[in-house]
Amino acid sequence: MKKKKQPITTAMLARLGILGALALVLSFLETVLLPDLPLLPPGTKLGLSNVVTMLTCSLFGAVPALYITALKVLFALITRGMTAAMMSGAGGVLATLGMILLLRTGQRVFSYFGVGVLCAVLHNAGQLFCACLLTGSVYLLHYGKYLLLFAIFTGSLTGLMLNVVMPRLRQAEGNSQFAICNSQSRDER
Amino acid sequence: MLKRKGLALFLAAVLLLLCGAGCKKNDKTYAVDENNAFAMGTFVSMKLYSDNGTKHSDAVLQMIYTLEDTISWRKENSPVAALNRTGRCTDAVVAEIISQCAPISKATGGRFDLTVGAVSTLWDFDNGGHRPLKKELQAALELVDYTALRTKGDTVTCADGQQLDLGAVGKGLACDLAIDYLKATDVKGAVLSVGGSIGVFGSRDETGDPWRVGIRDPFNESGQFGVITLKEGFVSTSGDYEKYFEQDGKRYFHILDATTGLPAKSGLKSVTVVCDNGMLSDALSTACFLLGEEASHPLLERYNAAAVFVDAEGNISIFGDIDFARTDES
Amino acid sequence: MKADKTMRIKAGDVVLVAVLLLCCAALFLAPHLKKQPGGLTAQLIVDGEVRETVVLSSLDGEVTRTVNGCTVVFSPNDARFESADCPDGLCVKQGRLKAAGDTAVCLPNRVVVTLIADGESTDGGKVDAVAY
Repeated sequence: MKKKKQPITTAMLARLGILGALALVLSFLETVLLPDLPLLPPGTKLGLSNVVTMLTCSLFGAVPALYITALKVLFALITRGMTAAMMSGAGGVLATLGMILLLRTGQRVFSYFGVGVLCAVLHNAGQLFCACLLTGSVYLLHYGKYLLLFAIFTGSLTGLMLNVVMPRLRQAEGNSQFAICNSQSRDER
Repeated sequence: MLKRKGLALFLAAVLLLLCGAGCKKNDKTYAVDENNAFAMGTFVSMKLYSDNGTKHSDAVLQMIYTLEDTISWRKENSPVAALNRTGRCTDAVVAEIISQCAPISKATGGRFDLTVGAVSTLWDFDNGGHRPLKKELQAALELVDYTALRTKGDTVTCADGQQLDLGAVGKGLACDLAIDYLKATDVKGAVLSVGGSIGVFGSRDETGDPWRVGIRDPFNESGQFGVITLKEGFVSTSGDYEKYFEQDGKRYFHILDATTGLPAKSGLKSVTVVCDNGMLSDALSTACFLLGEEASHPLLERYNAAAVFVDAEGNISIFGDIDFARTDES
Repeated sequence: MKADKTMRIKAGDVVLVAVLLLCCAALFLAPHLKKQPGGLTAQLIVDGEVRETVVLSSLDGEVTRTVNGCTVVFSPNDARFESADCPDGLCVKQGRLKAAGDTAVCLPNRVVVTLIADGESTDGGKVDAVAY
């Protein structure tokens, strides 16, 4: 997985904007399509938006991935309030850090599948601990086992998605129609 | 190709696991009919489990009210009240109770005695309680004598002035009647509590798991010190914490020794008896409390009952075949 | 270069998922937190502290509490958030809490309602009835 350190060019900003928007849309979609999952606390999500963060991290690096995460938190803050922002932050940051770690160092051992699973698990764990801290109640940990199982499942899905998509994206990098990846190299030329 | 298959297999496994976890939480339980009420001067609660959700709890409560009307000395028109007034009454239930309890009275040397009413009214635990004077007690004790109770068919007679008090067995009997009734209906399982006397049978769901009955901790009213696991049967507890009062720095509780007219001095705080008959479990728990632990063993054996004893130091001992487990401190 | 292949799942992935699944199994099989007061009991936890403990099974009717903008209703068989002034209303959507361990949370208002050690159902350390 190539990762080039890059300054934030206009093109990069634009890319992040699009990717960020995608993340937000996915986030919104899953609350609409699958509200109130049984056994889980309401507000639990599939974590589809993590696909975007993983994609960003893999293609562009750790910092842009963190920007995407920050964008999600900001959006939550504006639209849903401080609590939602903190939850999003806790889960998002933890997941992104984990993703960065795995993508940088674990390439030989892990595919996107593992990254996806870890990401989902960390995201839910982060949110659960945040909720416990916010309410001061340890009883919420009762949900932990369901969240863990659920995260393994959703993480597998997102991870598999990337397993399928990423190699083909890389392949397409050579293809000039793929502006997203190509423009970096164009900028640097 | 192989990789795809492996992937599919893996996914299938994950999904199966999910279903498994989901199923664990969704054991097929029967419909539950839950009801609580006040009867026999205490709190009655029950959970009846059935396939089709028909409600029997009202019928059960009705039975308990009817029983109360029969055996409570507090009910003016009850046969027991009539017996206490006139020395005679005719009732099948009352006669049965007396004949069943006679051997237990004998085995406790008269400590357990249904005619203890004359003494217990003096103590008046229901209204706060106060310690009777020695003279009063002596006089009342004259009237306490289970051997003077005679049954002929359904007719019961007693000596002049004797007072029958079936409080020691009423709750267990209520459980008996209720469970017998329920077993004949389509109810698949039931757990019933009549003032802390428990009756269970069947199962709450298709797993057929046994019931778990906790025992109140005599040292901590809001906690339990252990759990009895049983599929079917009756559990009754006698404890020194149910009705008591303090006077002049001393604590008096409602389990009276009919030979002395004073609260039991067996060194026990609580006795729990498990038996296949409700009335017996109730009677035996009182009897064993009065006898003390060691002396209870023959009695328990005779009725094929098991018991859990807790003494004043908090030591727990078990007698008989019983599935009892301590629970951690609450 | 044509890299038309889907990336395969690697050893690390399998190990990771296996470990996580094991954790899951352990969590599901482990006994629940053990606390055994007699009867269904609800705790109202506000700002991290237990504000009130309500023994539901001893209630005659419904009891209502309003804290931090949330209205909580305790009834003999369950507890629930009746209403709240938080933006998401997730706490109300949680519905009725009926068994020990059930918990509803209003995060923005920092209010938690949880049911602890039920005296009337079986699961882990709980009991169907209490003899006394």
